[in-house]
Amino acid sequence: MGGEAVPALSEPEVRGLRNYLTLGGVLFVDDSNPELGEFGRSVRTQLQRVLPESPLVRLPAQHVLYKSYYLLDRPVGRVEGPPHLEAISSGKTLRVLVSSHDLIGAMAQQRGGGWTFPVEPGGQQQRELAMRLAVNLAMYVLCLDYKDDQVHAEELMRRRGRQRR
Amino acid sequence: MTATSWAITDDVDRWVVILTASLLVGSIALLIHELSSRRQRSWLIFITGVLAALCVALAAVRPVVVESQANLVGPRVVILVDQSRRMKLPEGGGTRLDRAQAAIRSLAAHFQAARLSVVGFSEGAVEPLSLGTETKLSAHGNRSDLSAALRELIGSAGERPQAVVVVSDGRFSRPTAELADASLRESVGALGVPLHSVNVTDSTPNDASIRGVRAAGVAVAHQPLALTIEVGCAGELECDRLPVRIAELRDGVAPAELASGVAEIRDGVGTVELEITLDRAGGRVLEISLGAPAGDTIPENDTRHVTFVVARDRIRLLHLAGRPTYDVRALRSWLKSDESVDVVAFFILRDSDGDEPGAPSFELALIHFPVDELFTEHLRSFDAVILQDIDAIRYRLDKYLARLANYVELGGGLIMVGGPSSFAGGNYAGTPLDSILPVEQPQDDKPSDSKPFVPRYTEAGHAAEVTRPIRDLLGDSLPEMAGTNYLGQARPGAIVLWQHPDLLAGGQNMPVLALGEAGDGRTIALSVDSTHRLAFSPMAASVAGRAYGALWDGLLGWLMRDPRYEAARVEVVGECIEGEPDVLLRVTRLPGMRGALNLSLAPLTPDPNTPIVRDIPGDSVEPIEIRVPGLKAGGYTAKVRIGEAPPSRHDFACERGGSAWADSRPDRGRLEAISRLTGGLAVGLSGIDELPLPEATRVSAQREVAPVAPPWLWTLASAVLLGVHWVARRNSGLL
Repeated sequence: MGGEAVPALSEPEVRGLRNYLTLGGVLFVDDSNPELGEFGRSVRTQLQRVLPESPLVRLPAQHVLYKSYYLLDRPVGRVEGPPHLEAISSGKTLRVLVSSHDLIGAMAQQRGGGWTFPVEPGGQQQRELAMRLAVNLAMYVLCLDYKDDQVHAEELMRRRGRQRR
Repeated sequence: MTATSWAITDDVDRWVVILTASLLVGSIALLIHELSSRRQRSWLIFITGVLAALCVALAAVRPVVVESQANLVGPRVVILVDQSRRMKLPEGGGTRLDRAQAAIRSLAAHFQAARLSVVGFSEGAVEPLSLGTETKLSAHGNRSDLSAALRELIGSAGERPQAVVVVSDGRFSRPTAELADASLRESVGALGVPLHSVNVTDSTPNDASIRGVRAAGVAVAHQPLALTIEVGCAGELECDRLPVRIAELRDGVAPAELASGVAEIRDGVGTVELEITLDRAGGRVLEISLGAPAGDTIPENDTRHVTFVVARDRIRLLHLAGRPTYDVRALRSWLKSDESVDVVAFFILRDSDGDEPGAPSFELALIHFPVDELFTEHLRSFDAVILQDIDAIRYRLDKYLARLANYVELGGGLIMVGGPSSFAGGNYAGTPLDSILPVEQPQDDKPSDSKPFVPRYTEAGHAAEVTRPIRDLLGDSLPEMAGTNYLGQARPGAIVLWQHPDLLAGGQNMPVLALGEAGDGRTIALSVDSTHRLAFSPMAASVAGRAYGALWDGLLGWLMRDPRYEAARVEVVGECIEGEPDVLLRVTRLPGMRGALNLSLAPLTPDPNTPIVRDIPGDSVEPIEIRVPGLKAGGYTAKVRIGEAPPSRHDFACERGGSAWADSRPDRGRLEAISRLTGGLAVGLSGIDELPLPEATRVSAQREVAPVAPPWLWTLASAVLLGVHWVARRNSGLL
């Protein structure tokens, strides 16, 4: 998470992060200043060093991340941002997930209890969707593609149809 | 009887004889050529020349006179007696074997002048038998292979018999009944002597039987398998429709009926095709029984016990988790990575009593946990169930625990993985499921201990194949576990692989990982929810995370009876047939397995008798052959334990009549065809006197060799004749 350009990782850091991801760790990258974009660009450069053979790709809207707990259509955070997340996968498992929506910013609270940042342009509804995405992210990390299982497919398809109506 | 003949001396090689003859012919030819060119014929030169050459040749080969005396002995006759198990079928107050014995006695009396030898045949090598009156024939082997016996007779060294007498009921496995005359002649006529036959029975018994059981393809767990059952009805029995039933024999519980049908009998034979589905892989024992009509004289072949080796295409697992955790993630990730595992998973993501998602249900990707449907309709279709940290009462599993226990006893697998809602913490203590787990569950207020610890291998853990993969990677090291469920001591027969270093249960270190057998099924209790640290931790990183897969590969493999994780291989040598004096079991230890061997053999169906137990010392020679007393028909399970390793199991069937008794009808036609095609005679017991005696064999007893003339006389005669020939030539001016 960050808003400014990250410094270049040392070689031991690159190897350590690569080992972490290879063993099954998941890295979530959240750009808290997507309007500026410096953090995102520097992260992409470093990820290229960590996983040189696995480029970041857009996560399709049908990915299980959007149905691991809540049924979601697209990612949002403090800002509406692009209608997709970016990811590096190993097989069917996500290893790196990059958000340009300041997802954490939408959930940040002040010590007194109020929200730290306003959410734009969707206001409170967008904040709720951002929190649902965070829950989905946690569920995905713990359950992986559980909701893609065939036994759930029929029921979930029926509900998606109802949502669209 | 004396005979005189001429020969040449024995000490001259054949090539010398040929060379001498060639030189003799050449000399005479040259002489003729020489004399034919002269105007004046000289008969004296020709005659002396020929005589001289002949005398020189005879001096070289030295002819002898052979006087031999020969005797005539009885012809060699071989009696081939059928010793297949079919010959023990009842016949006229005794058995067919008794009648074969009587036939041998009659043959011995009839062929008094012959040199008789008796050879038994069934399957495998022929067996020479003595002709003594006390000799009692025995029967063994399901097959009656006359073709192989004749081949062995042809290949044997020594004098070839001049006649063979086959004593049998004619129901040979080979040559088969379908062979045309030409093929039959080729099969039995290679010996080139007459094959007489003695049919030991003429009457067809009143018998309804299961003649054959054929499967359309290989038996695969959970997949329908079509069995074609051929039913026969012979003699004077009235058979129109005969009921057939198939049941599976399972360890410790009543047989489960799989299918039933009716065979329509036409011309004494009928078939019925029944579809069965075997849910468990490995050796499964089926009991196929026939409802025979009244008057059936051979009830032993109304029931067949058949062992089917059921393969598994995929392992079907039901994975139930009470909450999403790293341990759930690790297990799911590993299960899904294995193409041979088919996982149906249900994870409880929302506790309906406490979690408020703040959204209507149609905005949630949550579905109702179909516990009723799973445990009533689908449970049987799974090979194993994994319960991971799921509360039995809160998620309504409690009312299905008896059914789940029964599923295990019928051959299913069960793994209970630790967590706050596992074991006693999940309200499983005191339930029907409790009794089939390999460990007891203390019902304390505090179900788990959160203090981190490193499990220790037990002696059994070091010996077990199930832990070999992970030990190969990590040695005796294991990662630190984040607490454990409290477990009681291991139940009798359970094997503890890991134990807690500090906590005690029943005065011993508390089990952490334990294996157990429950009826036909197997169970595993794992008290921790931190095995994911074998996949993701500094220790896991040292072996690239492979230790997690190594552990679960072994656990799931053992649960599914994968031979790789068994301590020993057990097999029945030959066939198990009721009435045989003993059954031979062969046990082969897997490489690396050491220690004493304990065998426990018990019927699959509930039996009040004590199992047969054998203890073999650890230094015995491989493979170990263990004889157990004859068994009654039915299914049996042999459990073998090597040292401290978990037991290996082998289920097998013991038959009453077996395939040898499946078709009790004699086949007189085949005996007649065999005799007719080889120039022999087919008779019954009463017609043995009609069998012709082959001609006597001439055997040389004494041989005397004497030279026609001494060598010096041949030499002198040659010199004189050569001299006369020289003088004749000189007088004729040929020199």
